Amino acid sequence: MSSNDTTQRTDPLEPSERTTLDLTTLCVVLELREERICAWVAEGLLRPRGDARRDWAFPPEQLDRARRALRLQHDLGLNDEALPLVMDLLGEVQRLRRRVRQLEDRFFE
Amino acid sequence: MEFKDYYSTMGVDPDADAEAIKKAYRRLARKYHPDVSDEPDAEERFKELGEAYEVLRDPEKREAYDQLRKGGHRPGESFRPPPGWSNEGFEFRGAGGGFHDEDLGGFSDFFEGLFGGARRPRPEARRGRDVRARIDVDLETAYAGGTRRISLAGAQARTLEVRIPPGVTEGTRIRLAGKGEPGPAGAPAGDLYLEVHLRPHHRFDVDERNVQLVLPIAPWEAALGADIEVPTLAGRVSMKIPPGAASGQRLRLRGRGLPGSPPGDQYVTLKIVAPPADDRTRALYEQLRGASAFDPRADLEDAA
Repeated sequence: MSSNDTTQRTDPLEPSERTTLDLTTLCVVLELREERICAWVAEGLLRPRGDARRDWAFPPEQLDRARRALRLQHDLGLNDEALPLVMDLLGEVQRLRRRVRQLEDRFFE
Repeated sequence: MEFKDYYSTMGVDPDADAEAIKKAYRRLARKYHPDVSDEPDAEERFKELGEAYEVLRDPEKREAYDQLRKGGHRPGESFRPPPGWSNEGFEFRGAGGGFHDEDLGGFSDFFEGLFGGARRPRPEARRGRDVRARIDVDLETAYAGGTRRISLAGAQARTLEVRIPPGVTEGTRIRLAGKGEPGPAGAPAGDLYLEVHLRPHHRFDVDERNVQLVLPIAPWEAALGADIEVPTLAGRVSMKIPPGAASGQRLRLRGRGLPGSPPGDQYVTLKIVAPPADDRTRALYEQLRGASAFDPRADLEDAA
């Protein structure tokens, strides 16, 4: 691609929509059994919208979260009991890293 | 291709047993796993680690590798598989799901030369790699949405103009389907993920969706209460300061942070600023001193 092509573009790129998934579809996408997902929801590892199981809706960030959990479990050998704690702590670490970065930005501005 | 020293990659002795190798892998994976690590070169390190582990964990591959190593090959030195070497017949870990299977490219030429292709091409995996990049967004754009131009470096260097949806926060990932690396031989391209980084704002500080502002007020506004126009991302709104407000007190403007469900709040921290003492205020300060028994350091008395 030459640099000339890009200057002719007029419409900005739209972020790609990612759809919300129901329980059945999430199981297919993750190649997991339903009981496994239900256990994760019960433990608070995943937080779908909706109360009843048939109303559960998993937004895209929940799919990302489930994938991250599976990768960590696979690569680091975490057991099911430790996984929710690890995910919560990682989330907190990420939030704090972002916060520190922002405060550093402000401080050294 | 270069000869690789898998033992030094994993930080283990050449005579380490399987248990020690597994432990070393777990220890380094915790450090360099891209889902965990903050190290800038985490992906590269984790990729090297995964390759080393794939060889050393498997007795057959390790045996073959050790033979070559004993043959006098040194790390970094130019290497070709010996004549008659066959890279067929080696098995690879089946069940996928880890980072290596999904996000990292294949193993090195050295590995593939010795052991063949590790990646069993699953049909859905035949697409270009996802690309990640950082995009700097100012707070006004994060609030209202807008467009940003971003220049990507590297092999697919290009400039893109991207629409930023309203309500992005620090760390939000914007996905642009099909804008990652091109797929092999006509396969679909990967996705481009832009991670939002909020530029520091001269006035507001942001934590997730909440916005913070330090609001200077006069001593009489604090003492008597006041209605004050406060800047927010949506413009000025009127806020009631209760009588007897203290410096450092935090007031909340509900729903005035970054949009979302639920939207963030704006927190206003009061900061009482004394007017400078000129001839007119000096007289008033003296009057106040005479009339008031106020001791701002009452709390410090006990310590003395």
